[in-house]
Amino acid sequence: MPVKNVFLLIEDNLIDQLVIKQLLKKVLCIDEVHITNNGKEGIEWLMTNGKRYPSIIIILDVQMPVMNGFEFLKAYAKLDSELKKGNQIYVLSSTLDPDEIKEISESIYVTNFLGKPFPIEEFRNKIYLNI
Amino acid sequence: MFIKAPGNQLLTNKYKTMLKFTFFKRLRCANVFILLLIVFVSCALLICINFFTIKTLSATRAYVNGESHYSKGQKDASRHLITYLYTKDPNQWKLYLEELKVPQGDGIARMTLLKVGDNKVARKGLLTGRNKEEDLDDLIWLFDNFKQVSFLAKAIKEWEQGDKLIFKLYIIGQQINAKIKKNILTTAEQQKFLHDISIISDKLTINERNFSNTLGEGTRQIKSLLIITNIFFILIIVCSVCLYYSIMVKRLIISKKEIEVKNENLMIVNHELDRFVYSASHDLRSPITSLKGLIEITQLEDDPNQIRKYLSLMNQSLAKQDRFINDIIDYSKNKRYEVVMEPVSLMEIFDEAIAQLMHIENANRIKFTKELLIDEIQSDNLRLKIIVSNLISNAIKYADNNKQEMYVSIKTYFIDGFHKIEVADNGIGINDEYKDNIFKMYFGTNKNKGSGLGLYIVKEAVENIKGNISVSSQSNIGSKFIVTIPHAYAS
Repeated sequence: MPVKNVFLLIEDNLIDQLVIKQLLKKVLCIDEVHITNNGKEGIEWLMTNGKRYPSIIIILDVQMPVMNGFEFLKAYAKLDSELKKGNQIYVLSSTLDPDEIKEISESIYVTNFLGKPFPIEEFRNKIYLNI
Repeated sequence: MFIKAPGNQLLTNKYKTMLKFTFFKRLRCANVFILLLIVFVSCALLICINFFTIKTLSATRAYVNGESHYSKGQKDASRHLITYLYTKDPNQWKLYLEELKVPQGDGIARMTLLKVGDNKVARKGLLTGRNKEEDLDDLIWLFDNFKQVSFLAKAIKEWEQGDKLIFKLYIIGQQINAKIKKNILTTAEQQKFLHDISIISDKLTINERNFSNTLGEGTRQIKSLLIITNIFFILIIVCSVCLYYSIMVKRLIISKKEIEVKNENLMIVNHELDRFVYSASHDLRSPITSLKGLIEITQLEDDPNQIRKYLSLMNQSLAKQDRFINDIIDYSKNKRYEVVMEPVSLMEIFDEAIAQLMHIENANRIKFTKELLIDEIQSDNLRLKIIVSNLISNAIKYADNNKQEMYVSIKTYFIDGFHKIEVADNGIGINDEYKDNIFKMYFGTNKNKGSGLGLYIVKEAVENIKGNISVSSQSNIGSKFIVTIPHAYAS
């Protein structure tokens, strides 16, 4: 059963962008994935396009130049609550730093923390649970 | 991720402070030993002075005691002689002789001590003078050592005069005894003898009083001298101990502060190390996770063209990891290896670096120009290689593909006593907002292209060879890095 949601991918690594996009397409049959290269671009995308969609699933990388995942979450918290309604944020990172993982998990906007490479099966089960 | 590793400047400062500390430590060490010596010597002196003073005072007391026996003996002898003079009782004569022995014994002792010093005769004389046996040593010791000292010399003189009077009394006694034995004593003679005895007795009383007073005065002088010296030395000891204590406390405080600073530094270093390990592990892992993802999507792909594209991406991912590992190795070499000054050919370093970097995408489209006014310099080969290789690699990686002609221009020249290496390009340039951060560890504007370590390592390497690096850049126009190396420096 395909999931019909809008996806926003915030990730600076071009290979990872491709991998996640392909996995979403091949496994979950999702064609509409919007790609931004860092947190700042992600926020900008949400501000211009957020209102058009009732709910957005955001896949967020942590280590990015310009605006990293933590800074994105801070900026996201300041967004209009109308924009945030119905959204889910999945943080995706290859970090092993327990401090970072803890900080991510404690954010109220974060639905789940996922380790790289993108665990597509785990992701599918989680979004079915949460929708 | 911004991580600031302790720079060389910090280390040099630390070294200077350490030198300062050792200098003061040496100074303070000497001070402490001098203080301890002062305390030790003062204590020893105080013990000696107190010992001898107490001995002196005890001896003087014994002399005063002896004097009272002397006087008593003399007075009793006079009394018995007078009684004998009137009663002619032979018992009184015997008692007279008995009592007279006391001052006579003292007299013998005095003469012996003056002429030959300590011997049995002197001791026996003193014992006859009813001095206590336990006091004898002190009495003789004081006499021997202080007979020249004014107060005792004066007392001895009084004693000598007293002895002369005692001898007169003895002569009178003999005359009286002879007359009584022959029964030729007249009343007039009785009166005369009585008169003589009382004159002698009066004179003796004066001598005896003077003797006691002189000794008493000496004792009082000694006592005040003793108090002053005691106060003096005790003050010295107390001051020295206080000083010693305060130095020790100061030193403890200083070392405590040093330890606290060291601890803090260690904690910072530890924390940095932790961050470094996590960052490094993240950066080492990320190409692997990319690779894993690529394999996963390759397995789902049927189109051979797509698969070929994925394979090329896998290759890129591995190349990225390889570069990162190389960067880490450079970082560690730069930290660990000693700077070795040797003749280095800049031409060779540039050629080698360019040859090694030609594999980077689009590198063959870039035109390299070299203008080397200086080739051979005295410097560290490893550091120069790291610097040059990273700067050229950056120039290639951040070339502007939209430009018709891409170039990297390399120049070396000598100006104002410094060697300069210039690497300029017409690449994408650096945004003004990033310029302050480009030399920081793990700073990178595009992790697809670099590890974020390159320029940090360059800066460390430049500092290691006592040079500096500056950058001028304009977004979309190009960047120019200038490395300044001192012409001659003592390492």
